[in-house]
Amino acid sequence: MTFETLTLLVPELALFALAVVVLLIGAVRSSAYVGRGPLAEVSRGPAGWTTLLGLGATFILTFTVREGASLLDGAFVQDSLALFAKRLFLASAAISLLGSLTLRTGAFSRRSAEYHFALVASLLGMSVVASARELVLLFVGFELMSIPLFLMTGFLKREAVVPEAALKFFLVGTASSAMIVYGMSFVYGVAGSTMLSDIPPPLRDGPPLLMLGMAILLAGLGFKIAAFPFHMWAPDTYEAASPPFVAWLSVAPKAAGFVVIIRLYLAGVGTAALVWTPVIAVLAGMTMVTGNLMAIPQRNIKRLLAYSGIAHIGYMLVGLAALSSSGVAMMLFYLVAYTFGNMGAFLVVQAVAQSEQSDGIDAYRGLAQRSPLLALAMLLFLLSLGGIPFVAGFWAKLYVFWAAVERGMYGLVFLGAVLTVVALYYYLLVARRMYIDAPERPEPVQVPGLLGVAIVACVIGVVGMGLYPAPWVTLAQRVASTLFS
Amino acid sequence: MSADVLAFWFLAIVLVGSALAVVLTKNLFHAVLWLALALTGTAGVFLLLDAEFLAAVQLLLYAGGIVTIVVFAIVVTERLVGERLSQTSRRIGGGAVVAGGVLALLLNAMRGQPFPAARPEMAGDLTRLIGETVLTRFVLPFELLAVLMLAALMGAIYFARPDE
Repeated sequence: MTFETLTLLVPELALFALAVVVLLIGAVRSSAYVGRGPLAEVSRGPAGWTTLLGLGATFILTFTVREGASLLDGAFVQDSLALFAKRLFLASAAISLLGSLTLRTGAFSRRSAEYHFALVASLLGMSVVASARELVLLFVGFELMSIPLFLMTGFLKREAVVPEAALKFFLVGTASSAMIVYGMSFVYGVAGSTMLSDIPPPLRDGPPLLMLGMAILLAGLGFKIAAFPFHMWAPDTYEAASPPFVAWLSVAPKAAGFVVIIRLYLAGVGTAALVWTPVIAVLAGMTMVTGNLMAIPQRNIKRLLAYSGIAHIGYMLVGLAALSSSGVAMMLFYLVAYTFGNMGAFLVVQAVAQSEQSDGIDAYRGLAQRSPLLALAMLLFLLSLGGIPFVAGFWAKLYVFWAAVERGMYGLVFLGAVLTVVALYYYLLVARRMYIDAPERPEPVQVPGLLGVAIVACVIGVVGMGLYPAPWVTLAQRVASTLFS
Repeated sequence: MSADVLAFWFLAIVLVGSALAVVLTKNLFHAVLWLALALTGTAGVFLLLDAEFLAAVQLLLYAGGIVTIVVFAIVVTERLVGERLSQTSRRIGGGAVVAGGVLALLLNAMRGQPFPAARPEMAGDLTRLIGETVLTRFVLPFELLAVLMLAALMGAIYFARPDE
């Protein structure tokens, strides 16, 4: 290990150091020191604040990494896709943290160090996954990403539905990891090497055993991103876990899964990857249909957002199915738009749940009269998820469909467009509750300050990307173009 | 048929048979014993491939350590619950169909796959080679495993401990 290799690993080393520090805070923290003013706030949640600070520092440190450099014969790369993904993971984790810092009851006050350690450990796993171009490293990274997520899902272990949901997530997660490693074993058996660069491109006339291995691997990855038919765990898990965590869970691990799919099935293969088009297109179509149709009858806002999240995974798969540089770029743009919209919606859910003690859609009755700003924020997030002009989601859907049309996939685009109308129906059902129904109680919903900051950040993201998408498009195209050169 | 091939088929039958027994036995304790046999059979496959170190690790960690822990877990749980635990396999038909489908796909894929006829010779001290590779080419996953185990341990402790 020379000094140069260490500078390449700076974001990962920073996350590792942060994990150790957070763990130690949990160990040494005894009687609560209570200062005055902002210090009192920090002293009540030292692990959380340290984590937030550390994530900010790591985010800045990602800009010191020399882009495109690699380590261990190319097993670990810091290319623009990896750095893009890492910044997305870090930013979404910071937004989620702002939300969870306002949770001060029960386990969140007693076991805060465990929660934040798990968050940082999972982030470390994700950031390795985003950089891995070698199967063993990829698998270990995936496990490091997933196992802390089980802990965080079951964090409120004393509540009635939580153990069951956490156990389901754990069983599905381990089964998907087993599938991934099973698929990898065939790929290794044919290629004789675990380096992605040594694995022959999965072509139509390629070795059948390799294709089978890649197909099993794709199924395992399908679980991780909750694509049809591997989506069943998502609604139960989302319903049981705390909203700020779900906000992050619905975004970051899926982004990591997409990065791996891009690396395994698209990068460096070019048009030869066309053999995967029908598979991914069918997956995309089925995922969109299932997510959108299952969302309609939901009466619980978290389950509704879970199914709508599955549908969004389908739209992103449409971008992937185009198997082109512009398809990947538009998928990355979609990912960012989805991050802001979905996280924002879950943070509003947290605000309402804290004040009403309910996740039912009925709890949103007359929200516009009670807390007009909160209702407006929720409306913007829902419109963005629905794909209405002047918010981020509109451009995201348009661009993804555009990329698919370029490839002549008119059927898939038609299906997606029809389902967008279906999606608008159930998003607007929530909007109707907020704006047309009369409130049951007059007093406004209390939004803690930090949660407000997080919601405002998401609003700025959604509206900013909606009014001025150009810089994000340029960034996404730059990232995608390096994969297809 | 050489001794190698004979030994392989013997191990294969033991492995598949004991693996099926693990899933199909009603008595949970017996299932664990079958699992121990399956894990020992895997060690036998490693031995057949001249990977003595892996065979030893397999016996020590899996057939030794993990089976012991599972037995403890069953005994303790039965004490706590106060009844004999038994294994039920629901939807065994669906499972058989899926397993059969995967088997058919695998056999089909293998038929079209040219395999090298002879196994490449393993040169040198394998244990030493494994050690060197783990600390050079695979140093990143190796170090990450430490963090992974810490995280897994934290999770297990978190769920197991009673609230104060």
